Formats: sequence, C-alpha cells, structure tokens
Amino acid sequence: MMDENVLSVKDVYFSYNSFEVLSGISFDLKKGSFLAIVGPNGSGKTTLVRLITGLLKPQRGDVYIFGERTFLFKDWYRIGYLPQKNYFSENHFPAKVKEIVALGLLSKKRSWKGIYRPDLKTMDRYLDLLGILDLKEKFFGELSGGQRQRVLLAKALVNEPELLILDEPLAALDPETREKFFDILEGLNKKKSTTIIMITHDTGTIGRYASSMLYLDKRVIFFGTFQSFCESEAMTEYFGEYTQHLICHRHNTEDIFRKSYKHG
Amino acid sequence: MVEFLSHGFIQKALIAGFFISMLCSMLGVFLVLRNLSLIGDGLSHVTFGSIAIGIWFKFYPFYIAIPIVMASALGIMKLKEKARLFGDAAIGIVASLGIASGVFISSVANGFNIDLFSYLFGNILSINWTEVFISIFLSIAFIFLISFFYQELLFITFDEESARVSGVNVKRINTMLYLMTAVTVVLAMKAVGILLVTALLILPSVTALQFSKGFKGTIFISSFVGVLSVISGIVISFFLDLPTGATIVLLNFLFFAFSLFYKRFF
Repeated sequence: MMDENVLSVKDVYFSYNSFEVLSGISFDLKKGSFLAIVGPNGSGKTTLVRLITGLLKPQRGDVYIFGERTFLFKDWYRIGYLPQKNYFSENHFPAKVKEIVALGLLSKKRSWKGIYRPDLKTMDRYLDLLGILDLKEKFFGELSGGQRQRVLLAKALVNEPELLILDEPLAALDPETREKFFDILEGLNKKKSTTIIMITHDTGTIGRYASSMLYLDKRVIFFGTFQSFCESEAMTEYFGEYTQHLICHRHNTEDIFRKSYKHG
Repeated sequence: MVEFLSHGFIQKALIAGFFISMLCSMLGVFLVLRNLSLIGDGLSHVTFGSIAIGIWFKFYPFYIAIPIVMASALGIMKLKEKARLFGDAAIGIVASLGIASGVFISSVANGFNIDLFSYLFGNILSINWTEVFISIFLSIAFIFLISFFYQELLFITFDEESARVSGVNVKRINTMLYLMTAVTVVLAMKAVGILLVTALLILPSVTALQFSKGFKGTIFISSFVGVLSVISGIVISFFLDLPTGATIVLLNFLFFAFSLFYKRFF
C-alpha cells in the first residue's frame, strides 16, 4: 500500500532538546508531484527535509521513502539532494567541476567506483542541460554563487533520481538564472516524472511550477494544490485576503509571509 | 653518493621515509580540507603518553603506541560527534590527556626521561628493519584503502551531509580515516619526532593546495613534495651533519614558501 507513494510522512514529531520543531506532521506525495514547502523562518522546513533524507530520526511517527522506512532505505541512488549550504567555505576547495559532479554518480556504483566513458557522457549531458558544460574544467571555488548552485544541481541530477529534494536552492541565483532553474525543474518534472520537493521563500514564482504546497509552521497549516489554497476560506482566515491574493496571483512575494503574516 | 647509499641505516631511512612521507602527504590533503589539521598534533601528544607507558612496562613502545593512539583517535571522533564540542576542543582534550599522562608516568617511574625525550625529536636514521617493514606494509595497505575509497573520501570532504544522503557510509569512512591517521602519526614519529609530526601531515598538503591542479593533482603534488622533503632532508642532514627531523620539516616549509611565491607571481 505504501508503494503508491514516493513519500509518506506519518504523524511525525521532532524536538531539539525540549524545543518542539515539528508536531504531528502527516502528508503523502505521489510520483510526479512538485511540492513547494514554505513557511516562516524556524518553522521546521529544513528539519522536515532532514527527516525525509534520513539525516535525522523522528522521535515519534515514521517517514517512508518508496515504501521503506528511511532508516531501512538502501536505494539512495533514487534520490537527488541539494542541501541548504552557502559553500562559501569551499572557495579554496581544489576539486574541478567535473570531479564534483561525478560524486553524484557514487550512489549507483557498487564495489569499484571508477568513472567510465558512459558516466562522462551522462555528466556532459546534464552540464549541457544546465548551461555549464564550458565550466567542466574550472575549479568549484572559482565559480559564482549561481554557477556553484547549478554545479550542485548537476551533481544531484546526474544519477537521474526519481525524487529530487532541494533545500532553498534559489538563494544565490539572480532572477534570470532562477527562471532557467525553474524551467529545468519543470522539464524534469513534466517529461521525466521526477518528483520534486523544494523548500523556498519565493512563494510568488513557485506557484507557477509546483503542483502542490505544504505550508509549515511547526505543524501543517496547509497541504494541497495551489488551486485549493486559493479557494480555501480557512486560508483566507489564516493569512488574510491580501496575502492569499498575492500568492495566488503569482506575484514575486519573497517576503510576503514575513510582512503580512497575521499569526507570526 | 655510492658510499652514502651503502650505509644500512641510510637505506632503511630512505625506504621508510619514502613510504611514510607519501602516506602522510596523501592523508594530509583530506585532513586539512576537513579542518582536522591539528589532529596529527593531538595524536602525537598521545603518542608521547603511550611511549611512556611502553617504556615503563618494558614493552616495545611502537607496539603499545599504535593501539593507544588508535583508541584516542576514535575518542576524538566520538567526542566531536556526541559531546557537541566546538572546533578543535576534542583534539585539545585528548592531546592534553596524552601529554599529562606521559609527564606523570615519567615522573613517577624515574629514570627513563632520556629514552622518552629521544622520541620527541625522533631520528629516522635509527629506524630498524622491523619498523621499516611495518612502515612499508601499513603504508601500502593505507594507500590502497585511500585509492579504493577515494570517491567516498572526496565526497565526505566536500559535503558530509550530501554524502550521507547518497548512501555513503560516512561513519565507516570517518572511522577509517581517523584510524589511518592514528597509525600514520606513530609511524611518522620515528621520522621527525613527536613534536614535528604535524608538519609531515600539513605542510605538503598546504603546499599542494597552492597549485590548482584538481583534487587528484593536489594529492599527487602533496605526495611528491612530502617524499622530496624527506629524501632530500635525509641526504642534506647526513652530509652537513644536521638533525634529520628538523631538516625535513624546514625543507617542507621552504617548499611551502616557494609555493606561496609561485602563486603570488605566476
């Protein structure tokens, strides 16, 4: 029964020491979904992603990926992950772009982890798709924030994952690169049925691409399609008409929740 | 030169020095990039304490030092993981415990201070064949492990969190890295002494990091610089009658200074 869902989060609780960060989180995600996780700072978004990726264990409840509890899950090659990290400390990291991207292939390798010709072709395909093929021989530390983000996305994509998890990937990107980034994600989601989970504060833009939204504030405030969010009277009550209107009309409302959030 | 190479102690020093320096230089790249540069220093302090235990109980110090320093390396790893210590605090704790134990034992068991303090500065020219064979065997085994787990080590060095989510057994690889470092520190102690072990781990790698040649290229340059420093250090110290360990370290520093100059002007 679990296999129908790519991801099932069942009544999950998590606290740091005695400070509760997530309380009774439950939702399911079908193959081919594009889920935006939004919410104010400290609402537990990154903690939820760390629970989904098995970096943290829930103190109550369970997280299933492809029908398997995360701590029993072995097929990590089915998952691509781009963590929230600024990578500024990597300014002097001596690896070339191609060496970083090749790390993404590791989860598919068994005993000897050499990089062979078919691997190089796959890497080139994704570097080309992301418009950074010409950076292949460059050093990671030499790149701009946006270029680094695309390299890391290439690393996350190169093993052709079925589930792609992105934790605030837009922070270092200029508006033009953001659009390109979303186009790539949309292509993967629509053409390859890649399931995507993205934490973002860019609630305006994400509405154009994501099929569903999870609004988190230590508990699930809303989970459903953008359409149902816009039509929900409960959400009008919770956020106020103005905020809901801005989100639903897909304006660029990066700080919208911070500015207009009634209950924050 | 032929006469120089005909000396048994020189042959032993050159063979052991070649392998030990190559191993130190390779490991050093991973340690420096993971902000673990001082682990060599911490573990060498523990070596001091364990050598004292070995001399006190009249065991061959080398054999006592290896398991104790390995256990200490695991202790540092656990302290960093579990005790939520910042930065190098775990290394500092274990290092001070090691040095205090050494001083305490040498004070309680009067009479072996000279033996103990000879380990502080090391002397690769006094290495015996058993130590040479142990050094060759362990160096080859560790270099094989580094090659076999190269991708995992690189991944963890770059981003430990992503490596975990890619299914890399981070705990196993970290344990392996810490244990290899522990044994390497004990091996290197004979070459340059407890006080200068860190130099063999850090200097070749920071020198290599000045030349942008990719990750594999960095490891290769680090190994080359490490081996060149040790071999030329042995030769120069023999002909000029200088202390070998200090000569090796000073040559390492000269190569580092040259790399900074190269980076600045070329």
